Amino acid sequence: MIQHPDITVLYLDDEKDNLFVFKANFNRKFEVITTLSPNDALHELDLHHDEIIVVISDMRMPDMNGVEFIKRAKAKYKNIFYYILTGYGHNEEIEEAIEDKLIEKYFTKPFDALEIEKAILDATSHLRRN
Amino acid sequence: MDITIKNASLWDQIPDFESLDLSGAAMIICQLDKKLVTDIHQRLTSLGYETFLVQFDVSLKPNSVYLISDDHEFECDGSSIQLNQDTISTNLMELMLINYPQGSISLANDDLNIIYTSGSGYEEHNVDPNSIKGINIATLWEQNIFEGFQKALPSIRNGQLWEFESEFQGKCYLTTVSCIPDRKTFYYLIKSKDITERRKTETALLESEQRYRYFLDQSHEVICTHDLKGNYKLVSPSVKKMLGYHPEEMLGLHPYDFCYPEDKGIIRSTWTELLEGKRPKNIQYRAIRKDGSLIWVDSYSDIVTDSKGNVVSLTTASRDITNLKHIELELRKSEERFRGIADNLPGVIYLCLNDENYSMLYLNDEVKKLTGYKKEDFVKGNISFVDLYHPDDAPRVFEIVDGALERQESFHVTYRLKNIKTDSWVWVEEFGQGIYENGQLITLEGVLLDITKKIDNQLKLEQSEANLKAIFESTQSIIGLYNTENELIEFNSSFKNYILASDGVELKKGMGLADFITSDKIDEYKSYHNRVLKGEKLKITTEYPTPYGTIHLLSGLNPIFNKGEITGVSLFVEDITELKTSQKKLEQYAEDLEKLVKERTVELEEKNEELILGNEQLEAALVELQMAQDKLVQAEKMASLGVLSAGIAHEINNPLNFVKNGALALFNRIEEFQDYDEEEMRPYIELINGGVDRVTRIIKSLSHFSRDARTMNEKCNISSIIDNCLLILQNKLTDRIRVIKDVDSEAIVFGNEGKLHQAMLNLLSNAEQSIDGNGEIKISAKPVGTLVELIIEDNGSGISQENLVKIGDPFFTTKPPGEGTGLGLFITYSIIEEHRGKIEVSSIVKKGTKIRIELPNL
Repeated sequence: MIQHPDITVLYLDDEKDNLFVFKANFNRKFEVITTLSPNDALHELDLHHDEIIVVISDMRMPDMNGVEFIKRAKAKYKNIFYYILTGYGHNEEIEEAIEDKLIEKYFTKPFDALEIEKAILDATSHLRRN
Repeated sequence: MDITIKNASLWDQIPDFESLDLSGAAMIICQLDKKLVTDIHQRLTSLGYETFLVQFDVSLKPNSVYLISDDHEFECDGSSIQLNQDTISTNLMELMLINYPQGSISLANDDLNIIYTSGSGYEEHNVDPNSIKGINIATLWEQNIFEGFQKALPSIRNGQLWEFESEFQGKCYLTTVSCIPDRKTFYYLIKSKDITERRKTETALLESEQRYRYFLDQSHEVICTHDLKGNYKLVSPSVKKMLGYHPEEMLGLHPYDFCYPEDKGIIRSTWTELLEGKRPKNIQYRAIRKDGSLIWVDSYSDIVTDSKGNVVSLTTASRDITNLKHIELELRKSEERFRGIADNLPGVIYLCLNDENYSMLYLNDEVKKLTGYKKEDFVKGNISFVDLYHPDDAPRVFEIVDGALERQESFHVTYRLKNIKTDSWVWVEEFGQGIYENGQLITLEGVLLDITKKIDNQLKLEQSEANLKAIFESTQSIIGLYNTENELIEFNSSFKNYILASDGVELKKGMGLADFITSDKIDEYKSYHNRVLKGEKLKITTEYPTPYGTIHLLSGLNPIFNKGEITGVSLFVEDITELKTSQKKLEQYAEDLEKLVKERTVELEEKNEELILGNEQLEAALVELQMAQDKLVQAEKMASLGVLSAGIAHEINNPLNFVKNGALALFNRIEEFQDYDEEEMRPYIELINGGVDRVTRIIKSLSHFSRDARTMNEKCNISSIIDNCLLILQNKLTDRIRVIKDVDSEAIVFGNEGKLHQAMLNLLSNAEQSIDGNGEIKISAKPVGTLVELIIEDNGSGISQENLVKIGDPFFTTKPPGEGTGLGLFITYSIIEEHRGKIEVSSIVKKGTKIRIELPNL
């Protein structure tokens, strides 16, 4: 039983446990795809970009950071809404990404499930309205 | 031994040899296609069989395979293979022909009958090779050749090659005969080759070589060729005469081996230049003969090139020039000697013709000094001495010289010459004579000496004497000079006047002391003079009382030296009355000065002591400064702690994420259970959420302190800054201190958030530390016009009035050493100042402290 089977969310984090708790909290509400690396995430995007409405990415990852990943992803799929979920409070690169409208906003760890759910639903309704 | 014979012509296809079982037998595979032989040989060998390719007769060995191609027929007698003879010769011929494609080739059997012929040589002479078959070589060859062959036959059979040359139809041939032993008989392989061209060039070479040899042998010069390293390849026989070596002894050696070691460089550089393409040239060097004696060699080197222009060798032609060299050296030495003498003479030496201009044949370099002209100018006739004579002197010079030459006498004349360089007249003394051959005047020779200086010196002496005389007379002092007999030889008018006044005598040269000193002091004076004549220098002061005061006289008596010998006595008497007076004054001054110095020294010593004291204080200050530096380092460490905590924030936030949201997911699942009791579960949920929230807040607030942003335009909410600080201090505050916070959420300023955090934390921390036991901190903040006013008030120990003025100073602390850096308030003051704010501190001891801060909110 998925509450919103028509909303697919892609979540990217290099830590497996983060993927697990994310999925545990949202897989009853949305279709959740999780990946451990930016490259996997790009691959998933190629496959499911029509269904994916929201992409949430970790900031600090070994190969490329979240902003770099989103730059790449957004270059290809610009209708998707992108967010950062970071363990850091403040980061200038993230601030810039918001100013450049690359991401909608950023969440901090530990995440607030309600805040993220609201953002996803807002993004979806915004998308559908247009 | 078992023998298996396989006929390969019967094969449908090449069998697989892998399962070949020899078991002690020998296997012969015959009738093998020629093209397959090598291939099969390789395959069998690689399979490990000992395999032989049979081309000659061989003995059989067990466990071996013998391959025979289809162009051989053979017989096997059970222990060996014999190949059919005809096939041997045919094969051999083919083999040979491959290696010997030009000329003609024939094979004769042991009876010396030709059994095989081949090769292009026959066709060239229109001879049918088959027509020779069957003919005995005895009839083919000339008799003497055949006889020679017969003689050599035993050695030919032993494997020696035998050769002869012959002519046929105007061409030259080289024939080689070799023996091929067969099983029972011998074959003779006869190969003929056209060597006409070779012979022609050889003859031409020989002739040219003979001509060359003749030339070499006849030449007095030693002609050699050298390889490119310089080693002798050929040396002409004349070397025997020159160096004493036989030409053969020198082959392979190098000219370096024969030349005088110091002269190697001459050869080396010449050859290097030659090989670099420079022109050939003659060099002269010393060579060592076989008998050890040295000779001088003149050698011409050149390169020899081949038709393509490559240098193939070097050639040299050398001759003994020792005698020539000796003569040359002798001549040079004698000339050098003459020049050495001539050039070192302080005068001009000349050799000239007795013509109108005295045309110069030789002059030494001195002429340049004398006249300013180079000797070449005279020798080339550009200038003549006649042009340089002083017009007043010229006629006299001609008269004297001509007269002397007429009488065949030497002449001596003094005159002036023009020096063009200094544009002055030079006094010259000339000594000359004519040189006659058979009574005929040939040349003039002579010396010119510059005597200008001599004449100048004479003039200078006269002048100097006049000067001395003037000084003599112009001085007030008495001057007198005596000879060794104490007779007066010179005196000035002061002396004369003095004696006239004191003794009533008029002084005259030649007077003795007794002649003009009438007083009883004569003996004393005499004894002075005698002491001086022995070398003593005397200074005598005498005093005379007069009505105008005492007169002081200083008499100096000194020996007169001429060339180290005492030739008399000089007397110099000075009136030093004034000097004496001044001296006395000076002594007085000196005394005063000393006194003054003593006084000043005491003052200086006092000053010095003060300085030492000041120095000690400075040292103490330095120690304090060093302590302060240590403290600064400590403060830096504290700041790094903030950075560190930011670094670990990420590491903490991730596990916090697992805990918080893992628990959330877990509770959501539990909710679905049928016997879920919300009341029972809520405390657990709140416990976990509360814990996670607290950690999250601490981590977040820590990160505020570490932000190293340099910007001053961040929006800073005073309320949340205070909250963050309180969170950090929470464990210190506990429940002993009550915090009353009344901060307006509109209290917002623009600045650096991180720095404001630091400032607030310092103030709150100080407030907390001032409270011993229970207490209260009141915090209030609100916007007032364009300012935000912030007040922090505690009821702690307070600050004394005395310390109150110092609290903003760096390193001021009332805490025990090691506990406080004394920098907290200093940094806080700096931060507030940076934000263009003001800070006021008022305090009453034991009542508490109130801090009021104003920050502009724009």
